Amino acid sequence: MVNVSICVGSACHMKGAYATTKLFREELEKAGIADKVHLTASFCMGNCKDGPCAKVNDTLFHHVDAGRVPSLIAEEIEPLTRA
Amino acid sequence: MPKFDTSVQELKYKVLKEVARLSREDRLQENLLSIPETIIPGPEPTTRCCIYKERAIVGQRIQMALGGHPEKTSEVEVLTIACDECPVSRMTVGDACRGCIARRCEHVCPKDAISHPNHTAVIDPKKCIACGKCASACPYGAITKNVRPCERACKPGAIHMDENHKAEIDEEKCVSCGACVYQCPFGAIVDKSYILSVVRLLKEAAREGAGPLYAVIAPSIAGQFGGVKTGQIVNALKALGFSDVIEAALGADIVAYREAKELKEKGFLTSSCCPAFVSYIRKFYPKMAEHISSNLSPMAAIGQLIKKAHPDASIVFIGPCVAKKGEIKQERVRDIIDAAMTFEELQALFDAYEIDPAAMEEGVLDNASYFGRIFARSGGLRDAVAEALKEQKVTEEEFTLNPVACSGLEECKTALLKAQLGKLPENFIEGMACEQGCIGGPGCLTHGAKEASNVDKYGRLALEKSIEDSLYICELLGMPAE
Repeated sequence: MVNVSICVGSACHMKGAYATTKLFREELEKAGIADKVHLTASFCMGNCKDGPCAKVNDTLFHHVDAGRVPSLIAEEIEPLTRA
Repeated sequence: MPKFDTSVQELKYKVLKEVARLSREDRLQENLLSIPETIIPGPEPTTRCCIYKERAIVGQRIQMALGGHPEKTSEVEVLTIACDECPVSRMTVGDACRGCIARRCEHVCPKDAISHPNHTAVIDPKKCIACGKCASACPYGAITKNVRPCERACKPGAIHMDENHKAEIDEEKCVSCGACVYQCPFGAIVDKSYILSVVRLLKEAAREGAGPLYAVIAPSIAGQFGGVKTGQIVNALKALGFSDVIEAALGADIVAYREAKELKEKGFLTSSCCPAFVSYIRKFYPKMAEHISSNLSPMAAIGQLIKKAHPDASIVFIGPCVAKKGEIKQERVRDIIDAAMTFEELQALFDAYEIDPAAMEEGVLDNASYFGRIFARSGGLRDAVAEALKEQKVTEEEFTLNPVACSGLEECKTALLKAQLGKLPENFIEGMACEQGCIGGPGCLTHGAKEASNVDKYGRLALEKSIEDSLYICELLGMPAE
């Protein structure tokens, strides 16, 4: 199982983190890996200036706005589900 | 100097700041006994008969800053040296008494306490029960009723005078609302402070590998701290060492949503947000206790959510409330919230750490909806529950909300008395121990007429327009609101 956690603290929220979470749900379904990814949220990851932040397992990613979601899934998450 | 309503608050602030500063620098123990002299340098006294009495009072204040007497269950204590023994005789005859012939006062007195030995009314304090009938009967308005400010403030009647005429708190009756703390003109009743727990948590959070430390801030913050914006307070808290700041109002959204469901199911409910109101019911209307909502308070609800997402987190609640300090000792809340402090204490902490919120850039604080934020004023919870019922698409046939919002314990008492007799027409009691709700809380820096409109204005700034909007993240955080 791949753990994906999206920061929904105030700063990330203001930069669109909620939209990121919504798109993540849709895109994981589309990619057919929704059952292999555990999608959660968290409060501040300590990188407010570079939000929205997301963690894939223990790796932190910055600027994960909605536009970034499809590429993040294809390049970072999908390969991990096959590992 | 920060802005307070009264010099009494300022004196309390000075002691808290000094204690927090020394603790921050790990110098508290060796300097504890010199604090009174630091605060009251002399040589002339400023508030009392001599500097030695002033310093002795500071000594008692230090004790309260260190958490007071743990064996006392109430969150407020009397500083016996500071209590000025306000006049004992509650009914006083003034100069306007003409010693008239009608002597209505004498005739109306049910205890024969009034006589006219020298053509003027004299009240025997041993017989007088302070019913006030003489004062109403006197055509000259010459008799006045004097009640000690602390006793007048204490709606549960927990304060009386001891044999030395000092105020004494009956812990069986005290609900820790803190009204007496703000009302005593001599600052002789003080809330216990746990500011040192906060200093300790800040130190722990700074250690390598420590879990996150969150500040949960009450929506009544709007309008506090003078012209400083809430976003600046957020950054000032981060500068203190908190990992992030989270709105208690998101907890209020959760509570409103759950309260609506529970109310529809049970048909009659009292709110459970205000710990002093809950304590008041349990102590004075125990038969009504079964009707208290099973919900945690907004503070505890948001705390639970944070700890679901971050089990290693520590949480400090910051608000206007004294009773919250007791709430976090309860079994249901003990493991959720690590410390509670007031806005007054936060001001002292900022200054102990030499952090000026006014100089901070504006940060952001937004997770809650308008409805969660307006919990801070009387009627806010009522409005939020009405909104939650609407969002849950509960029809009028299924359940019709008929709420009563009680602002202050006197209004709570009226509603509870009626409810106990089955004569309350309403089906939901919103109970707030403080007048106007949390914005009237004793731990506020300022208590102004504008606070309610400040809260509404702050509420309207929320990105989330509905309760369900703000609850969206609860499931992702591991705790669905339903």
